Amino acid sequence: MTGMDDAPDAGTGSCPFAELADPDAHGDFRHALRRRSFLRGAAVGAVGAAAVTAGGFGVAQAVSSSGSSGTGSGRTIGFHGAHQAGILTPPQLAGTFVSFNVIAADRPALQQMFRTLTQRARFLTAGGTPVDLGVASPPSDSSTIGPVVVPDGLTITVGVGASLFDGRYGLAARKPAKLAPMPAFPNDNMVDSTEMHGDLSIQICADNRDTVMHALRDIAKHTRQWLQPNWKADGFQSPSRPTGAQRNQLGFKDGIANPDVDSAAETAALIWTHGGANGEPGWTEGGSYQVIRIIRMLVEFWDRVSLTEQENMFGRRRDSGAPLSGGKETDIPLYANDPDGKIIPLDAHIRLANPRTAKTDRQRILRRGYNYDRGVDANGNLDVGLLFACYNQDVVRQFEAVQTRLIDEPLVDYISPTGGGYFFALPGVKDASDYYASGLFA
Amino acid sequence: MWNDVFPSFLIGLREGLEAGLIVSILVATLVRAGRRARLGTVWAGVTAAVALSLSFAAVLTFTAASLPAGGQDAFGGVLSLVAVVFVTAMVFWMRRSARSFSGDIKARVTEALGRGAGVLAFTAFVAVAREGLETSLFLWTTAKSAGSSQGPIIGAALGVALAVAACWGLYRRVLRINLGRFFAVTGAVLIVIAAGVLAYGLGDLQESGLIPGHTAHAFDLSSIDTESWYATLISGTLNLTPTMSRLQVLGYLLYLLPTMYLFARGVRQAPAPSAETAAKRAAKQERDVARRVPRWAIGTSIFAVPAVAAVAAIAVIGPGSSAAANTIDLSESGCGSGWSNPAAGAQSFTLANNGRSTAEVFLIDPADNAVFAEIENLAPHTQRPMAVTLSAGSYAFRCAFTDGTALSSKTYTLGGGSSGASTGFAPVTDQDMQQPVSDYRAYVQQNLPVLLADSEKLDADLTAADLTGGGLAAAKAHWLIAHLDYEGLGAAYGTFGDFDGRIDGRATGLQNGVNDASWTGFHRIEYGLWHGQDAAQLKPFGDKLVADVQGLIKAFPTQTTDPNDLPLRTHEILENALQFQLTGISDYGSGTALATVSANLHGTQVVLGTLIGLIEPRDPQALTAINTWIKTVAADLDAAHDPDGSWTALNQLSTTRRQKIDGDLGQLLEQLSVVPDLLEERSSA
Repeated sequence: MTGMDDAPDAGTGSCPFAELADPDAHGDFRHALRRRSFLRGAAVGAVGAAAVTAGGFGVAQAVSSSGSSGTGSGRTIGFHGAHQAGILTPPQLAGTFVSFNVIAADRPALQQMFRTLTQRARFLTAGGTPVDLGVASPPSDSSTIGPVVVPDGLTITVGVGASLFDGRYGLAARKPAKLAPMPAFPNDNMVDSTEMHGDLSIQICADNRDTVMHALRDIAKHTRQWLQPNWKADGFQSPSRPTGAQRNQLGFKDGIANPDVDSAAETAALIWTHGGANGEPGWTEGGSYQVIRIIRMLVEFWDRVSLTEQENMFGRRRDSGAPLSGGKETDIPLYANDPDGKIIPLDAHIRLANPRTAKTDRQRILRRGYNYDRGVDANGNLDVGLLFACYNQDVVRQFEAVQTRLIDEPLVDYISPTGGGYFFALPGVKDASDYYASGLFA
Repeated sequence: MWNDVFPSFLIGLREGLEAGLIVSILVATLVRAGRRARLGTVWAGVTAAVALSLSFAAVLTFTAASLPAGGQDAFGGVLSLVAVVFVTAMVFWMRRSARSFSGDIKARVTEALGRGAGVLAFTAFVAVAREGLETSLFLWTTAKSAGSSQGPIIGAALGVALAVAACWGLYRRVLRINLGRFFAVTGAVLIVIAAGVLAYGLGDLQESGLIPGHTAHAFDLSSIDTESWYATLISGTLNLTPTMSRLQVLGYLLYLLPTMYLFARGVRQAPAPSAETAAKRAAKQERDVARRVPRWAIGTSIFAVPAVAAVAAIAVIGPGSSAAANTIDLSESGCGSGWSNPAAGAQSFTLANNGRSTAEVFLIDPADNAVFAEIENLAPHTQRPMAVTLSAGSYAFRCAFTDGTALSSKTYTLGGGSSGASTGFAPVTDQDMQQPVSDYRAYVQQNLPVLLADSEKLDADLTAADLTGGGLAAAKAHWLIAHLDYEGLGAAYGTFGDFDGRIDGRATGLQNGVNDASWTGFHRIEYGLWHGQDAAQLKPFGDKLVADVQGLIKAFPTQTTDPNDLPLRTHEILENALQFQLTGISDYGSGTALATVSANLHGTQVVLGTLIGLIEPRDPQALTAINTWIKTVAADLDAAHDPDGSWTALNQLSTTRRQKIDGDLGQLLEQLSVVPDLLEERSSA
């Protein structure tokens, strides 16, 4: 097992995955996984003829932690907790953002939608054998990831948009305090965009692309009467090249200076909303504002720009990711020694985004973006870019403050935000009897 | 019960003899050589093999773990070859040590046996282990399903007991032979046995697929019953079977003849150490052994370590699903045997068609024929899994072979309780479908003349407009009426053969799209009417439409309606509506996609109406859900139908309204999707 297994206890409020060891939630699958692994172990043991028993078990352990195989990555990320998974979770390789509108007729139907969505997410993230509907029905599962659903590091993160709190369901009074439709920022290219907003967002991430698509198909099938998809954007994480943070499609390392997700103090101060604080309704405890922006990168143009200019726009070295004032990726840029921007220009992306002052410290956001790649435009230029996604406690205090500073940064000539939205990532589903947004109906 | 005893008895006897003969000779050799102290070594090898086999088989039996296909054969095959090497080596090494039988033979043999403690133990180990896994798998599986299966356990125990007795007899017999002959006779016997073991091992390896040629038989005496007592005795002692591959026979002969020749001639004479030193060395080794770990500790650990490992493995891996995998055999002479220990809960069957023709297999309730599970086409000599969860009750397998043979298994009665059990559904027969098909055809026949009349009106409008130079408003109005007549017929996927393409085809699949000369029918006329084409241009298409409808009216009575198509249509008509109408793909300018969907919904209701009598008794809840969502979709569509008779165009709908229609129709389709499976023709069940 890898990843979140080592995460600290949820009691600190820092991590939604600590109940990973919860046997109710994951025991079945773990058994299944070990069993399947043992088959391979047994095969090896049989071929080896002697030392069968002991040899078999040794191999079983090894197989269950190996990488890509028939059982996917073999890792399960816990579903239940104070917070949803997929926020602090280090980004899995494949991610999809889907916006839905809710067509449920009334409030009970909306509630039923959330319950059904919870059931599906609970099953899909834990894995297991799909229900057998018998001879008088098409099969319950698409089998696109095999006859037994593998968890494969799947996380499903549900958010609600401002429009859900209009008159339809009588929820206006319960709207998270800072939730509003994402405004158009200067230099955005969102007029006539078909990829904006929505009543509901679902972020689906997993260790393999097919697992993401399987989960989306399953969710859509089970929620068809309540949810209609508006738009969908697929992203991928690039591997470290050669080390450190992944590179975006401009060739620069991205997501270096994120808040420390292992620090309970930092996540409590920067990521999670707190019911009763900051004007937030009580039910929002443990949620987080989610910002999605589809940012096209004009890579043909970019590739015709000199390296110095590129690096000055970002404020980092392209090769190492180090700030222009430092030697390696993790070095802290030293703005105090450089008040005139002689080393890192005053309008460099990293300097505007995070000036690293006491005043701006509370404006930091948790970025969790994915690269995207989806064909060509009318001119034959590649439609590639970044599915920017971030989580923050207060979208006005944090994301909007950062985004406002970035207005007219030099980089804007090379990027073109074309869609996205603001959503409020719901508090976690606490246990087997809880469901998404239960607090909204309490 | 007793009919279960004899086959297991023979298995026990055969496996017992296979393992026991070599062990008996080893023991006899030690006793004759006066080295009873060494017997522990042999028994340790035997015990280790038994413990390991039982443990490994227990893990395989009591967890969901399993050997891959051929794994057990490969295991047995490899160990057989190892056994041959060791037995042969031992025979020649003893022969060499006892080369000169004159003089101090006892001391020489003693010394040799002292040196070969590990070899003795290992030879005993492989001799037993090579068949141990298979035997212990058999025993555990039988024990697991005990209760209804005391027979096999008793039989196997009797068989093993008889084998042990036979080995004891052999042992007593050889003890009495003169010492010189003893080594010659036991050596020769061991070589014959080893040759058989070699052939057997090669056969196992071929069966596992590691070596090719499994089906290249040297001889095939399959008229001999392999389960007969004499076949069992021969295979148990000589490891020869009624059917052997060429490789097996070749290996047998190539081993047996040269080895026996070399053995009989005697191998080169080895210089023997003096009796005195040999005896001393042997005595020293004996002390070495004695100084090591106490024997009881070795014995205990040999047995305990694999046993503890097995218990731990079973605990860690967890028990297998409550369903024991049952292989259900079927052929034209018998259907559905092999369900051992039937009990309510999750069942996991492997259906094996051992017959000559393809079979349909059903798991039914024999009282009312309700179908709980099915496999539609099980080819000869193939196996397929069948998983189903059953509540307490009576069940039987039914097998329908393509050669016409139809058989049922005995009735299995299940006790106990189970949650999440599958529901059984009364099978729909050909006969059941006759009325719906005839109702549906009557509906079409009744409505085709209406379609013709309205098409003629459209054609007349086009003619009039052409003659008078008047507008096309009347033609547009009649176009919609006639088109909805057609869309309401419930056609989908070739219901009307080629006529559907001619009457209602889209231009999307044509070489030149909307400009393709071969494009005719409603959409061609629609395209012209709403793209400024004049009446003169469209008149020929009006004529053609009328001719095609007339052609359909003439052809329809001779067209057959496949009974299985009707349940399929209940969702396919609206699948098409979702795919082609609600996306706007089929809109060539009239903006009447929602009107078309409405007509399609009507057609669906007609088809469904013919089937209600079959759906309702089987799944009333599904019918209720379908009707609920039909009402919802109908209400959505009515809201787009203005009082003046005009329809809101798709692109005039708000996103909210359009998403609601898409979602509601999507949900209706989810509900309708059960109808084809529910009403699938299962006449043979």
